[in-house]
Order: sequence, then C-alpha cells, then structure tokens
Amino acid sequence: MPAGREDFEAFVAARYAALLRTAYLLTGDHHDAEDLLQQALVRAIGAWRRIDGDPEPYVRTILVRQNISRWRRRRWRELTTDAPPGHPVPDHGADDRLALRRALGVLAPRQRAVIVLRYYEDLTEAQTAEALGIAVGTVKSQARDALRRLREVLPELAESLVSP
Amino acid sequence: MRTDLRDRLADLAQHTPSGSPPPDLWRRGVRRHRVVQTGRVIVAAVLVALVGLGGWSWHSSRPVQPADTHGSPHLPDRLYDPSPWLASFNGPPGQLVALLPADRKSLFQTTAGLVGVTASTGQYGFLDLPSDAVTATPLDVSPPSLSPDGRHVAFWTTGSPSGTANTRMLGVTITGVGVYDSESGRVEQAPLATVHGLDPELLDWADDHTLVLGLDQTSFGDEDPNSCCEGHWEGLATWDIEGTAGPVSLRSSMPLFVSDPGTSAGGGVLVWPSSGRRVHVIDPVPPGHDQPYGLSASAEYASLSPDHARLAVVSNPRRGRLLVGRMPTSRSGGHVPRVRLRPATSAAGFDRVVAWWDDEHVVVERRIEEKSREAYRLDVVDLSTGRAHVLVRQARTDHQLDPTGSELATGLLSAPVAVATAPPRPWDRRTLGIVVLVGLALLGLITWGARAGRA
Repeated sequence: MPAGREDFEAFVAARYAALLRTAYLLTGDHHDAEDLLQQALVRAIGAWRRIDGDPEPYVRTILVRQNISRWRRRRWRELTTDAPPGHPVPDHGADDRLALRRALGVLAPRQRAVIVLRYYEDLTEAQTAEALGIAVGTVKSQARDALRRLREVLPELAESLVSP
Repeated sequence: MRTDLRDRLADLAQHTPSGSPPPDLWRRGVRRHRVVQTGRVIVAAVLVALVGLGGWSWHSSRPVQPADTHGSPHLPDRLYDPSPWLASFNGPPGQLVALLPADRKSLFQTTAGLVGVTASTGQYGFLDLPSDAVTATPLDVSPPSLSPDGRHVAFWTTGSPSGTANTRMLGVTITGVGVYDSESGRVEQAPLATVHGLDPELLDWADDHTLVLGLDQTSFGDEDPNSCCEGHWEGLATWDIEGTAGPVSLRSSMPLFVSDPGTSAGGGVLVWPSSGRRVHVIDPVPPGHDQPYGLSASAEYASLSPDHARLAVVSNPRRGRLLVGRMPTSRSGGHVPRVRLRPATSAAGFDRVVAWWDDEHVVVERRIEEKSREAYRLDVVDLSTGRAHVLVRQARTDHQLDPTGSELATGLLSAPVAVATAPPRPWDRRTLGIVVLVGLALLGLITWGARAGRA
C-alpha cells in the first residue's frame, strides 16, 4: 500500500518507462507523452495516501482520462505532422511503426485509449471500461469502430489477430 | 510485415524515446493538491453563501402569515419605514393598528402600495387591495383611511364616469369608494354618481362603522383642453357600512373646503375648523345637523372629546400651541355659542390634534427635526398637568407624500404599548440577482482556473 513520498518515488522509478510507452501510444508524440505522464503522476499525488493496493491502475486511469480531456481542449490548435517523433533510429521496422502511428492518429482519443488498453496493456473489457469510466458495451462498440478504421488504413492487419 | 495488432503496438511502444522522471514531481503534486483543496473550500464557501443568501431572501420575502385574530391589540411604540420589497399578507391580516403608504417594488416597476401593521403581533405586510383602489396619496386626494377599531380600510376607487372622464386633474378618474374588511378580506364597493369623475376632499371615519365622504365633482372631461381642473362642491355624504344602504348625502348648505387638513372625523362627529375663529361640529347621521361654534383663538386642527364636552385645537402653525376649551352647554338668543380656549401646556410646536386619548389626555402629532431619524412623533398631553410623554415614534418615510398619510387606528391609541419589532427588510431583488451572477462568475473563474491549471 502506498504511504508517502518514498513509495511514490519508488513507484515512479520502477514504472516510469512503461507508463511513458503507454502515454506515447495514447498521444503519438514523445513530448506530449512526457507531459501527459507527469501531469497524471502529479494529480495522483493528491490521492496517493488513499490508494489501496497497486497504484498503477489508478495512474493509468488518470492517464487515459487526462489524455481525452487534453485532446478536447487542444484539438482546435492541434497540428499534425508527418515527421516521426524524436530522433528515430533507422531500421527495417520503421515503416510499420510509422504506418501504425499514423493509423492510431486517425482514431478518436477514446477509441485510441480502448485500443491501447485492450491490445497493448491487455486489460479485459471490464477493466478497460473501469479505467475509462464508461460502460462495457461502450468499450465493445468503441473497439469495433476503432478496429474497422484501423483496417481501412492498415489493410494488412489480420481479422483473426485483432479479435479480442 | 507483421499483421498482429498486439505485436505492432508493442513494437511501436518499444521504440518510444526514453525519458526520465523530473525530480520535483512530488513537490509539484503536493502544491497542486493544496491549490485544489483551497479552490474546493472557496467554491464550497461561495455555494454556501449563495444558498444562504437565497434562503434568507426567500424567508424575508415570503408572504406574511395573518395575525392571530384572538390576540389582544397593542400599540407599537414605533412605526418603521417599510421596505418596498416587503411581502404581502397571506390572507386577511386581521385587526390593524396602522396604515403606511409605501412604494412597492417588483423587478420591473414601482407602484404605490399600502402597508398594514397588525394590532396583535405588529407584523408588516402590503395589503392586497383591488386593482381599482387608489392607494397613492397625492396631496390633493384624501388617502386611504383606517377605521378607529382597525378593522376596515376605506379607499377611493377608479372607474368610468357617465360622461367624458377627466384624467388630467388627478391622473386617474375616481368614481366610487370601497371598504376593505381586514378580518374577513371582503371588499365592499359603492359607486358614486359622477359625470366626469370626482375630486375627493375627505375620507374619514366618524366611528367604527360610519364613513364620512367629502366630494367635489369635476366640471369638465378631457375633451376640454382649457378647463382641466375645475370642480364644484358636491357636499358631504356618510356611509354606514353595517347598514344596507350605500353612501347617503348630508344636508349641507356650506360650501365647505374640507380639503383643509384640519377637518377630521371621530368621536361620532365631523369637526371642521373654518377660516377665522370658528369650528363646525357636524352630525354624520342624516340629515346632518351642523352646529357652528365661535372660538376665542384661531384653530388649525380640532378634535372633540369622547363625551363631546371639550374641544382641543392646535392654534397656529407657527407656534403650534395646544389649546383646550369647554363646549357651551346652552345656546343664547340665536347667537353662535363661543368656546373659550386656554393653553393646555406650555410646550409648543405641535402639528395637529390626532385624537383624544381619554377624557383628560389628548394625542398630538409633532414633527421632528429633519436631521433627526424620526419624522413624526405622537405625544400624549395630560390636560390637568400639562405634561407630555411620547406615545409612538414614526421613522422617516421619504416617499410619504402626505404628512397625514400614515393612519393610526385611533380607537387603539389607549391600548397597551408594545416594543415594536422592525419589519423584515428583504434584499432588493435586483441586487440579489447581481450578487448571484457575481457568485456564479466567481465559480466559473475558479473552475476555469482549475482546468487551465491541469492543462
């Protein structure tokens, strides 16, 4: 059970990189991902002493919900770019990653969050619904719509391999 | 090319540029938590204040419950200036001890209203008189009048005359008189015959159920642009509200100018101090016997004692002396009997005689200095000693148009005096609306600031 600053800093040291990867999948931009994760961690401190058990689901919930709020506030000024984030290291899988990143970019933030939580974090539909604060039925419909759009952009995605 | 979404997501995540957590995360989190907590406290305080303000305003402006009609009547030691946002009575108010003309405000308009003060509880509330009742009291129209027992309110009513209406003289066309029963809430109205409208001169109670009217008939309607404001004396009339007949004219050959403020009814008679040293005592029972008396001093205001044995007058507006004289018991040789007046007290500065308190005391009105908080004061003068004590104080009423506009139930002047409680003063609804808007704007700013801080 988290108790104070030491526990928080230990949690951050252990899970920062993993949470940053989730944040990156949610935002598609490295700087935005770092901002998002730091905001989520700062917000979690207010309730840190009240968190019962593993704090990661709580932080992840803040992460996905905060990302949706950020997108709503910032979409009017959001600029998309074709340039890859950061300083990519050339390798033979770069095209796949760029294509997936662009494909994720066409999704609405909640659809994107459902995809990340379901297929990257391997959460169940119920856990995804709890993290997003929506109904399980909504998770299913959001996932279905998101996958359909992803296949439109990435036709190579196998039908059988993306089913839950 | 990989076709599994899980693998491709994992691959994309693995190539996320690495980063390290900033060292001040905990400090930033604690600071943010404090800001959020402070914001919540402020929002809660504003909400509580708004709710409290709304509740208080609602409580102050809700209808006044009718007084307990079985309670004994009291005379308040002070009459307060009622708030224009005061509520009306929720039903008949019961016996009243005073009437106060007052502005009555709503969100969009201000009208002339009439506030009643209950005799048993001293509560204030606007009287809901009929819409055709004339509650405004311009200087040349006699104001609504409260019966001596405080159970009836008489007022003039507007309507359509038989000919062309005259609206230019008074702003309204008066065509009748009405009486409101404060215990039952019933209103009885009596239309009066008129061609162009009436110019009322007198509306007063000779006793608890006898109303005395003094009437001028307006001579022209609005169609004559050159003669708007001429009238002719119609005469006196009385209305016994307990009888079946309506107002009955009194035989009166005198061209009375009863608009003279010294004219008053009470003690079962009408007393009119005419110009010069003379007073007329008129029986309001038809046919209306008129007995003139000569006076040893000029009189502005006069009042006859309950036993009709003595006359009290305020002599002169400058000196305001209270004089008293015994009424002659016999007439001699067709001459007008004469009342010899003598000073009742060495004090001066009285404005008018209000009524007799009992056979040995007179209630007089005194205007207070303008810089004082009180506008008027009623004193009781002991005729045997000349000493006076304060009976009722009345707060300044800036919108009071007529000094005599506030009416006391003269039959209750000798009731036990009670320490008056100030009536509620509801907030101006417009101010309340502005405060609520400011509060909501403050809440919006706090919410917006909190969201901006999270961004």
